[in-house]
Amino acid sequence: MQLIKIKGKLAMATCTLLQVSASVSQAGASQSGDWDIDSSFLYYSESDGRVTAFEPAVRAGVDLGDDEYINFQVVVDALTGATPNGAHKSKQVQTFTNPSGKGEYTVQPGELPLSTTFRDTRVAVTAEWDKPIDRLSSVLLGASVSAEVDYTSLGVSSTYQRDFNNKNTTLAAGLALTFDTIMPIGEVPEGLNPMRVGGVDQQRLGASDTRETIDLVIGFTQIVSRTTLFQLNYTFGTSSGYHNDYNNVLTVVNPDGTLSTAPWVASGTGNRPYLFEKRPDSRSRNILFFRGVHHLTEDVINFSYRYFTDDWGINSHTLDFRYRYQLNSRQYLQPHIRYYTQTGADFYRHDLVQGSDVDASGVAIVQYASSDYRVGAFDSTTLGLSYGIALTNNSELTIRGELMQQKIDNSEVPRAGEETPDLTAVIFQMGYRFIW
Amino acid sequence: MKLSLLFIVMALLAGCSSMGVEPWQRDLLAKDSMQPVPNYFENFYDEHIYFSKEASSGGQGVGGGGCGCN
Repeated sequence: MQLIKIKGKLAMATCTLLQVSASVSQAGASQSGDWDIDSSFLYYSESDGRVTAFEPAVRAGVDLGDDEYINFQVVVDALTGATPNGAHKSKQVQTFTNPSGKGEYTVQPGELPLSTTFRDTRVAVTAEWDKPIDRLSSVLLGASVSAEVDYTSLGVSSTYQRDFNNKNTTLAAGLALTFDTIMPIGEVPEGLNPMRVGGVDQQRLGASDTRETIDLVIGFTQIVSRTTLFQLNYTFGTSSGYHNDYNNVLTVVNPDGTLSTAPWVASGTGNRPYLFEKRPDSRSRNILFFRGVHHLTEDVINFSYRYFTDDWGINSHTLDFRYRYQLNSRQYLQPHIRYYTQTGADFYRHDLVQGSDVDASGVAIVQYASSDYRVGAFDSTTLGLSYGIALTNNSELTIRGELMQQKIDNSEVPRAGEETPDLTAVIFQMGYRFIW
Repeated sequence: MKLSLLFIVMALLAGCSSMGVEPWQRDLLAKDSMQPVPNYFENFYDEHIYFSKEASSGGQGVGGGGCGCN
């Protein structure tokens, strides 16, 4: 399918550095006034009854003429299922209070504690305006609003880009500001304070907390030859405010691995042997991103690599490889492989040990702690296959199926039987794009 | 720091000035499949999934909205 006509905008589209810019350029309709409609549906489902997500989305872009574009996007994200609450498996029966502070749930010995009240619907709306400044430069302005039961996010972004070298080189600089408000069900728990039994004072801090994020991106795109281009991006991001996952707790164990029996969890105190996680209230990250696109005789290779490092101690490498195998002029198959590996945050803990990490009155001796496996060390591999067919000259249907497997690093788990299980998820996506 | 950055940018521009194509050689580069992100929603969903399941995110650009994804 060739939705983009060869015209002046073409150079910009092929040079485009930043994802947001690329999307706008690609969404450029074939003629001024035409709408480029891209609709898609995602089904994501994790094994063992964990999270399932349904996520329909539509994106509409219009060519206003003179290389000026506007895009609108709406995404609805419906989540159901169960999610780990941070506590690890135990040989004992474990009882947890629901995040709301009302009601409780019980987890049998040897089972991974999952919070089963997880259910949410998110609606996100984004608008973008790509405005040329002159023949060689343009600015892209974006704004987004996202809302769910316990979270709202407002974002604005601006990207300036300029072409050099006969439009074979593009430099871009982008800035994004994001303002998030977290409104936990049952109000904000205090980090490293005990989970309380249901019905008693939950000792929460207030209805909501906030986080502000700034991202700066400098990007470089180069057309190497008729068949090859590459991108190089550097991103610096910093955020301050509330970074905890308010649903997550850590298990407090006696030195022998049993649930803590210290005085602070004795009957009548209203405490359970779990402390809410606490992460630092700021985070800075540096990211290098490289992408290469190469056209073979008919097929196309799209490869990317990302290096990520932050001041929490997390370092990661991401490799992504897609091979678009052109079956004929209207159809293609695209195998995809993605590999990801990360180190754990400095404050990642399997659990907290009574006596050395938590004193007899329940006060944590450590400054920060989280047992969320997502800030621990793990590898993830995704294998997938996409199929695309041009139904007409102005419409395309795509279908994608993928399998993601996260392999958790349990090498530092002190006792057998407490390992965090690996996670498998299936991803299915169907999309339809047309000019209207 | 600023000087080093400026130096890198200038070096890249100078080094790449010999690369590239003429306007009439952009036929393949114009194809959807040659765009850095050839399928917008495939990339969008991937970013969203891995943002909620991994500790790293970003790198491709700016924009989008946050979420309290679990």
